Amino acid sequence: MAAETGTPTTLTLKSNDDELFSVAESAAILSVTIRNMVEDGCAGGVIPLDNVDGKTLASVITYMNGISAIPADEEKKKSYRDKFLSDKDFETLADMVLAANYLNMSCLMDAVSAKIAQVMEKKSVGWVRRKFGIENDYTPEEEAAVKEEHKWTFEGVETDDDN
Amino acid sequence: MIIASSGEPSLKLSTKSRTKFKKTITTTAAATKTRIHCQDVQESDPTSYSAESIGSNQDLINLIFTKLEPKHRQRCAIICKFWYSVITSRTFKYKLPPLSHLLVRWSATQSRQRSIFPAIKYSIVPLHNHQTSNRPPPQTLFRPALDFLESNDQHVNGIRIIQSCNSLFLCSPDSSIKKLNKNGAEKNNGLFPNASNVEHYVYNPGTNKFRTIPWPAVRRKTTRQVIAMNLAFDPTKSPHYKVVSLSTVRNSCSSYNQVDIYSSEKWRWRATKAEFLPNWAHVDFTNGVFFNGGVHWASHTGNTSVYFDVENEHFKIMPMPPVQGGGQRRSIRYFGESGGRLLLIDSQEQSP
Repeated sequence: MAAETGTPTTLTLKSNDDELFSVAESAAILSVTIRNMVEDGCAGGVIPLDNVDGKTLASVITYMNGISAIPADEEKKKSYRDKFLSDKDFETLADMVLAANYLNMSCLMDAVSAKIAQVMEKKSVGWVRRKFGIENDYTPEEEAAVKEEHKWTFEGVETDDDN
Repeated sequence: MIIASSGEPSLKLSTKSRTKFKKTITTTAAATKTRIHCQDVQESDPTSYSAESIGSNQDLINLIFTKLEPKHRQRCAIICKFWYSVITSRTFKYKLPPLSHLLVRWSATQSRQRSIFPAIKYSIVPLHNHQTSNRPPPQTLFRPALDFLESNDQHVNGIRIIQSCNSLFLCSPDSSIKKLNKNGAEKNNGLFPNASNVEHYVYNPGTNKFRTIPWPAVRRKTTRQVIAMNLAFDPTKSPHYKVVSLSTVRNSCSSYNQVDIYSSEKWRWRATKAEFLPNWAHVDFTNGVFFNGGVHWASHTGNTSVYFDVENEHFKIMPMPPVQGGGQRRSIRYFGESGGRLLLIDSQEQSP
């Protein structure tokens, strides 16, 4: 088990760009990945998180601390999540989905996916392709056919000037 | 936990970013470093590596698709072939939104009303709203539903829901009661006792709005008896609904069966060329279930029934499960759709 003595137990997490973070074990074990490490007794020293950078890890830890401070009240937790995500831009949200996936935090993953979906909702096809770095692999004829098939989905959506 | 698998089709980077970051798109660790060092070009090229990883990972993008409204999700099929295949695949795991409201059917008896048949009323109750504090008193949560007939037709004793279909209702006035009251004797005319006068309504309980569906036109010197009237609506495929009517048309020398379709796109009826199948006489047309693009009806006897393929406008054979208890006739307690499956409950009581 953790080498530190005294309560509450604190864990040290290391991001892939070598930033160190201290976090209460009770908050950190919201991540199933970290919880498994703690239960297996490999959380004694520094826990390296090879797939998360410092900026994203700092955000995730803010979330861990915030949500674990709320007693079992799903509505308050939901409103905390909404507030926590409200000022995050698309790139940060994308980083957080991957971090939440790696850390196995389903509640964060669910909330961030829903937020990304909300951001995408009214966006043009060109915006989505640019943001996700996707190259249009349809031929012009194929694209016209798919667009025709989905014509009804374009009401109230931003249009592309460059598309 | 969702893990990116190497077997998935990988997406190409856009031309601009491909030239810049060609070497570093294979592993997350390497890519995170790339992301950091490409921050200075983010203004002109807003793609982030994380978003690329999500967009090319079937499980992750699927999770985001499940959070999108069906309409917005369908539009994402235009992004690229991979997204198209995820969205249109049969394995797409579409989670229904949680149940939001309950429709309560109740009867109102008024002492001054002479009818022995109480009027049927409906109310809608939200299942979860609200903050724990400031909760309004329970009675104010109820809002009336399906009450649009009350003001304009006093002869109607209530409304009958014929079918519930993906958040829309098909209803008709409960005119059998009206007829019974007026004549003082019951007339056993089947489901649509006074077919030529009975209107149908498509009702959206979410908005409390309805639309009157007119009766399919009848030529001079012919009569039409409706066998079934059903709603076909799949919001994941189209925002438009269709009403399917099966009827027997009679003139002075002959009679024939006909299927008409009313579309909310055109707001009019159109006769189809669909031909009834030979086994239709055994089919119970009183309860039609829209499922997987077809209106399905169960049969009380025999090992087949029918469904109507709404898209292709023809009838097809539907197999029926064996009759319970080895008898000849099913006793159907429930026939409906749930969680993408058609369910039939046949409970045969053994006679002593």
